[in-house]
Amino acid sequence: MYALWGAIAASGSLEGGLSRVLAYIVLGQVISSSIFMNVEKMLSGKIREGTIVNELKRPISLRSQVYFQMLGIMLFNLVFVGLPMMLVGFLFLDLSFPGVLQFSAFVLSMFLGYNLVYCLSYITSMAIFWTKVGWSIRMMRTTVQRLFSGVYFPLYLLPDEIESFFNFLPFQSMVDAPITIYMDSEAALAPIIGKQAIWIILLLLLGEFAWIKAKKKITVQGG
Amino acid sequence: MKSKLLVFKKYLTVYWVYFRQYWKTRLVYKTDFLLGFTAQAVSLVMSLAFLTLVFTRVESINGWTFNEMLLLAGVGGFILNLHHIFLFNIYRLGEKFIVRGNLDRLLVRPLNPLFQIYADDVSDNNLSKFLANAALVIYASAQLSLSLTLSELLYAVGALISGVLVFAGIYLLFATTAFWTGKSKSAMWLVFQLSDFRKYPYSIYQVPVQAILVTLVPLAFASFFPVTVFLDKPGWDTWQLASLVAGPLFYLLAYTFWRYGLSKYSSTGS
Repeated sequence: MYALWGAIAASGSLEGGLSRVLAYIVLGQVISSSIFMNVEKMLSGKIREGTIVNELKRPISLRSQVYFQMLGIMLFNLVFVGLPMMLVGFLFLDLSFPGVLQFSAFVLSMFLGYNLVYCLSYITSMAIFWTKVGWSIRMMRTTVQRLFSGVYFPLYLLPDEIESFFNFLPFQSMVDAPITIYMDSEAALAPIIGKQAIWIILLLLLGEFAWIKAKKKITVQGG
Repeated sequence: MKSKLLVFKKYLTVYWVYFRQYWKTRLVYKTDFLLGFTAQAVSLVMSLAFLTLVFTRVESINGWTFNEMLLLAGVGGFILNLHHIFLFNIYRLGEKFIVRGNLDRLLVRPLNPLFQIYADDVSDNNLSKFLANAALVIYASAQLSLSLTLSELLYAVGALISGVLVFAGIYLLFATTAFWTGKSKSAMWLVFQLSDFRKYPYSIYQVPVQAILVTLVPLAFASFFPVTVFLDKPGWDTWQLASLVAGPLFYLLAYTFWRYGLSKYSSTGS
């Protein structure tokens, strides 16, 4: 990726130059490696084999069980993958510290991004109750998510009309939103965080709806 | 000579039996097949979208235009997925064959164990990527108005065979480490990550990366060098010829390593 962006910068002019792109890419990696998780993988085996009944018997909803399990995975990845990567960014790619206030807003926004990824992943996992296979659904969601959230291509480099389309989708709030807070000191925080919150609520409701439908589809295959 | 031919014929017959059996089991799960097919197609579309977005910013990368990059991605993807469809199963060597003791079963049969691993699975969900990459090659060649001379056509066939062997060699080499570690998927994950290097011009990488791409993971022989032949890019003559022999040589090397690994194999006893 590094070599590719170096070559792109050498062959054309990029807004803000190569260092800005690289900072964006590194932050994108920090965020995505920490908060991108998949509920599909956790649930698909259980749904296929029917052991999901064990989760359903417990006196706590499936949604909460999944949420806290994912939270644990997220914290682990944050400490062992995300933070070291950020350190590399500080040491080798002139990523600079944006100030305490902005950094706290970044952390908050990243946490909201995590919730958003979780909500989306929860919705797509519900489809497994019908299909009984998870990996292909997971692969579709992740590749689409990576492109539209800004992990592959910095969204600020997009041509205007395409950028507004990307901004219209929920994926922008997953990765691009916290990066913008981190890198752009003049960014207005309220609209970015508000947008994240709205998407979370929308997807949460959609997920509940999908679960109500999915509950009726549960079939325990064999004994 | 005659006996070699007979052996070859026997293997082909056996492969055909495996192949038919595979499809019978596969078509029981039609949704899985269709969804996998779609997922691979989606992932290809996303990587094309990425390339398109990059070219909204620049005219060319390192002297390579959009259509030339498409051809590069298409050729590499075509060769890689051809490999994947038939020879992908080796990546499960550690998890499926060694740890679970399935390899013992293969070793007592009068057939080459590596052949049996290959024949055991057809990675059909790569079929959509394979077809899409073929379409990509045709589209890009038309856009660049390329026409093949006879010698170029012969070169293409040679490079295709060699390229498949390059990938087969890489996968075999990395999977074989499972004889010591018991796991092949993490080594394979590394190869997956590296295989993205095939999509971009070799010349953009720094020297250490370039060195790896012609030695330990010689992907460049299976995408970049052959493509320069058809695009008349100057300066790669030796490499272009080397691409024709790199595959067989590297596969032989990987196979030797596999034989060595197999000789160190001791069953898990489960």
